[in-house]
Amino acid sequence: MFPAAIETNRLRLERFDHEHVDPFELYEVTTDPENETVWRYVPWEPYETVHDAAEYVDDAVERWEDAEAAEYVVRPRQGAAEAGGFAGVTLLDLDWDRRSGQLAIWLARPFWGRGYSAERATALLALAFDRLDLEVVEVTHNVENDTSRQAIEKYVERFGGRREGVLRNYVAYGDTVSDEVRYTISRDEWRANRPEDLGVELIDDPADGNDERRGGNR
Amino acid sequence: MFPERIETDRLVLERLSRDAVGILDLHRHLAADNDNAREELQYLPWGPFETPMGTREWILEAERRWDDGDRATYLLRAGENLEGPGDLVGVSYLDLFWERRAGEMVVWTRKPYWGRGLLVEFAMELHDLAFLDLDLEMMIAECFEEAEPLRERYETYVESFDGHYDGLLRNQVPADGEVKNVHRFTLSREEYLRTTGRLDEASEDAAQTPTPEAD
Repeated sequence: MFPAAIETNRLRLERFDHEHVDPFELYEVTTDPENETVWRYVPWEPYETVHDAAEYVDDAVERWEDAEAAEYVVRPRQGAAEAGGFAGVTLLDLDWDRRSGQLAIWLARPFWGRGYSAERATALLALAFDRLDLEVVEVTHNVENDTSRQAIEKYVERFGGRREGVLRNYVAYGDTVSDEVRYTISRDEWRANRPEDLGVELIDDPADGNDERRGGNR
Repeated sequence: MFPERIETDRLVLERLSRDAVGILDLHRHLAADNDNAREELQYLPWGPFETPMGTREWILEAERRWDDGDRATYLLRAGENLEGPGDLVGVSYLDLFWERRAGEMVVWTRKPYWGRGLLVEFAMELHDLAFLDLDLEMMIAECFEEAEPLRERYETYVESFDGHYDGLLRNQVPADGEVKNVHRFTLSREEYLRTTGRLDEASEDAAQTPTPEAD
């Protein structure tokens, strides 16, 4: 149901599984002191052990197979600076009952400030609306997280979405309960604002059976 | 974890269970063929029930969730200072979202008791329970976008306690084969205690927490 990879102008998102993610690399990036500020406002934290990192990959595989979440490792494409490097993790978390999906991302510190968050948001919005027929995609950030706010405001505005408000005590992660600003983009808003050439390519793995729809034409 | 019985000036609240009320007695007021019930329950997330089995399952769920500690459901009856002591006034429950240190109150009152300030009376009791006894940080009130009477009621409620209107959440709750938009209101412990003039009663923590500068 989900594409094995998604390419944008500068990024390649690859399915978050054991073939594309090395738990040692995941552990190393998340525990790198350089990335200490990355965890401040997000529901992720560095893994305690390599084993925890490997288990996280297991969980992501399970969520993918159950069609609960499409999770990807973010890497700069060939030809870009630091091509193939581990830039971060992103996902579209599905809530099918609500016909909604929620965007989430963390990026390693060296990859901040390049507009990567918006670029992969466009990729996951294309997945959510053009393929999965969702009605709404939502995204939230902690009220104090200005970095995320700036990135999110920009792409929400670009696609005609709206800021819904500050939701107090909206999410719990770890020991904290977070007040979050929530935004949504609807399918109608997406269709009205989506440029013809989005610069996003959803790439299926034939083994996944995602090309069943095209099978009849062969 | 929750008090089995709470008395207010005009009401008695007791834990909803098969011991507290007969299934058929309660069902009479919640039945789908009862015009009042349909009107009273129009914007609520449960009932009216087609058969007594629906009412029975609802009571059983209330018993189970009381034991699990994630919902406290009370039967509201008229007290000594209201006509017809013992008569059924309604049902109200407090949902607990422990991880988020938040709670949500849902209320059903029968039409003969509307517009008499009874809601405020027991709502205060449940808020005291939530903020003082259970030590929650936030009370949440949500209603469907189209539930105009409820939205107005919640607006008045948060205004009188200095709470917030958080916003309209799109595609928030699946119901009746569609996905509904929901208005969300919140009231913090500090706001509630301050506006009811009881900040001193609160723990030192709350008293020392400054009002957020902006949000």
